[in-house]
Amino acid sequence: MIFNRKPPNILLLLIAFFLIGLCSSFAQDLDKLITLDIEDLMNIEVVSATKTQKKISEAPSTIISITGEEIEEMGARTLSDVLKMVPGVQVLNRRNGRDMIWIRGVTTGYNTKILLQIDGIPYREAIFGEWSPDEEIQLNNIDRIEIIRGPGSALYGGNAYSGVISIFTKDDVDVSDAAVSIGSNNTHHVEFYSGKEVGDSKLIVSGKVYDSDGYKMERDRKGYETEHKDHVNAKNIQAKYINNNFRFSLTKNDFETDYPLYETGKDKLQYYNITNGFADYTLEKNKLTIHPKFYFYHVKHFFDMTTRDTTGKLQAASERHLESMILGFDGQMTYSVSENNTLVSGLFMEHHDAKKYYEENTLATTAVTDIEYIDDNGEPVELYRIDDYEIYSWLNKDAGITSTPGIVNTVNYAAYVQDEMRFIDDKVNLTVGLRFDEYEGFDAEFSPRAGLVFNPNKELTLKILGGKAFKPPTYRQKYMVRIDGRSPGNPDVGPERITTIETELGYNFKNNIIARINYFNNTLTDFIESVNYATYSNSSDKRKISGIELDVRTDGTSKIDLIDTFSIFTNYSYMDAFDEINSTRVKVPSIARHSANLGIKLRNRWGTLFSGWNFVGKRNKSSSYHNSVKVDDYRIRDNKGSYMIWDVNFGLNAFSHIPFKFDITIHNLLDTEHYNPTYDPDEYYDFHKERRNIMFRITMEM
Amino acid sequence: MNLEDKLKAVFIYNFTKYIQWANNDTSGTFKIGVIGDSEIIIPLKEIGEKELVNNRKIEIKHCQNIWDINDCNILFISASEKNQLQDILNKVEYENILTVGDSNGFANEGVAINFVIVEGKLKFEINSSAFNKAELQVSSHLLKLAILIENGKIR
Repeated sequence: MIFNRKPPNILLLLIAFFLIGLCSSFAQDLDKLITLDIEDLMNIEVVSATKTQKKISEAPSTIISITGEEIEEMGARTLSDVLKMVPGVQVLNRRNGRDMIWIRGVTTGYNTKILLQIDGIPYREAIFGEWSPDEEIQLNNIDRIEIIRGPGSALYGGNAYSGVISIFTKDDVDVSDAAVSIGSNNTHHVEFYSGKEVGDSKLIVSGKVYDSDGYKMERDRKGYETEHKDHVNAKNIQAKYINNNFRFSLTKNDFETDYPLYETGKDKLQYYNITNGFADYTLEKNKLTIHPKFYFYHVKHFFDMTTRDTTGKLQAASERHLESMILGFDGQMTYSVSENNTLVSGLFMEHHDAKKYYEENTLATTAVTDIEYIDDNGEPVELYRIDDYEIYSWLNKDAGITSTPGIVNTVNYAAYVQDEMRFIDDKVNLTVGLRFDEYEGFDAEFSPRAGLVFNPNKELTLKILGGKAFKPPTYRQKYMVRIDGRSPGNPDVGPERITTIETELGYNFKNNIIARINYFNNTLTDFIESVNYATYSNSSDKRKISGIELDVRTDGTSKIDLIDTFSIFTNYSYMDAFDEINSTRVKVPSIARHSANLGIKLRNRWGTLFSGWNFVGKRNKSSSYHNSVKVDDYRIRDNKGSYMIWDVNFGLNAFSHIPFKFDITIHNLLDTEHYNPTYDPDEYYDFHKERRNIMFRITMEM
Repeated sequence: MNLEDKLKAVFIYNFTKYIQWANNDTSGTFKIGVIGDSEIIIPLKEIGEKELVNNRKIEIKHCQNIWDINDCNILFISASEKNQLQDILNKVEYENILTVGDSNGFANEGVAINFVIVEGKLKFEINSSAFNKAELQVSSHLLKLAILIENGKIR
């Protein structure tokens, strides 16, 4: 494939900027707008050029906002599809339900270092601290997503370490739609949304059912051929009730997945049942706004792993039983001290409860010997009964092996304050914030943050930001006990920390072109790690990550007859990440030094065309790259070269007399072969990412 | 000049096709006034140079103060006029003038049409009692497309 050769990042950028320049030259065509009727005018997007952009330019963070409509136009199937187009974000497939999102080079295996919030409520499982960017998230009820790149602990606490992803769901009423999609790999997808106004209340229900066989893995993690596919079945439903300033929401997400990287005969089926909800109220009185909210996030997770021989006879089995609950309260108060001074403060409490956690294996001592089985070498093989197990892994605060497994609970208390001061006719905006978090097991954590935003005129923005954030240890890292003694938890382990300095220069050019360039410099310390299966502890190594992100976007009307309006965005990210180990610098494996994206959307009265390119540059290899791969040909392979993926979505809504819209989406149009590492370290064979995938979708609006 | 200002200007031009003014005097120019700080005046002037309203030339006028607004057919009230909105509305009350606002809440306050952004797109609210007071007749088609406001409440 041509795109697998030398990194074409410079070329990509040149093409992108050329296109933006070209389009901007005919962006301001009033004559074209005059010919449109009022219904067409009402369908033109304006928010990215003005209001939201203005807010973003004033915010003391690096924020990007993506609307629900943009997500639909992209043909995105999961949140991962959306995030891969954001500057500074790397999306790695690992297994269904647990894609990894890395913001600004901060690697995580379970997404524990990014805070995901939906309607202001954190999504996080209490034991592993994980969340899913794919099966767990419904896309058809999203109003917008705001992605903050950079730490946010000063307001949001632990876990807002490398970034915050905030999803806001729609409140639209008198609208109902349903969509049915079918596509490659026996994929079926049904989505619906309905909003009704009942008296002075709003009732909104939305959901989806997604089922796919998934695509077949090229090789398993050891380099052998495998029959495994990336199978998934997911069901999500959200019901929301709004009455004036009161909101109540309940969400249920159930999904089951296969683990695609095991060898043939070894299966790991995983089931997640997640229920979460919130109630909040906004009280506005004069200069004061009080916003208390209560929420819960309950997870039941079960996996069933079996290893069978070639004849299908069971050789080993293990199961995981997990149930956890987070109960939270956040009481936020906003007070307008004066026209130029806004004070935000709040009290926060989260109760984390591991109601159940243990893993159990087939019991070696009760091997069933009365079943005769001889392997290919003529040796008798012991087979196990699937109903005889021993518990081999559990949680315990005292690290004693005789206690009841899996009963652990702790509380996190916090208080925060943030003052936003505006000077010189709002041209200078200074925000300072501090949050205090109290966790069990380590000293109180203070997270300060300050941001100076300078808007000398409508066009120019300059931001200087700095702060500290932390990620608390998970229950797994603190309280895990295993009968084989591998990687035991350590109740005394402390949080990981990050210190950051950022600058942003933004300019709104004439012709509706908005450009922003960021520089960031992060220092990460106190990694929680278990080296060679030893007890978890905080490392004394230091990781430094710095980089530059360039983001340019524009939209407008065109002079070309066939096209009414267009939007173009492009971004480029450069990242330099290395560890300081005993005064030597070692490159962080799997980080792409260069990455870039280009998205072009063209619209007319007949429909929309989106074309997106995602370029990921060459990634570093660790010294143990592919060491666990058993097949020689695959052990020596280098799958960490650059790649570029082209996605296309064509939406047809030409038939105005019938309430249907048709979409065709092709992901990886050129069928490019590409990989991502399984995780850090990268010793297993890489995850073979998806080849060309075609989806057809019909949406009916009622 | 950004896309939003251009769109608003085109909307205003389009409104004239769906609204009838009680004053049938078709002589002279069709006057669109703009009060407050807004760059909408640039696309409005551009439209005014090329288009007609009921065969009348369009004249765009930048109103310096509230004493300058009474001879308009349409008055665009920019967001910067929030603090003196009631003064402006008192001045045009019962005048045959279509008021068009550009800030959240203006329709609730009594402006006949108000621009709002919904899901990233430009939409407009209509306060029908303001239409009645100003003796303006609005077509059902425009009402169908609008977000209707009555007595400060969205219907």
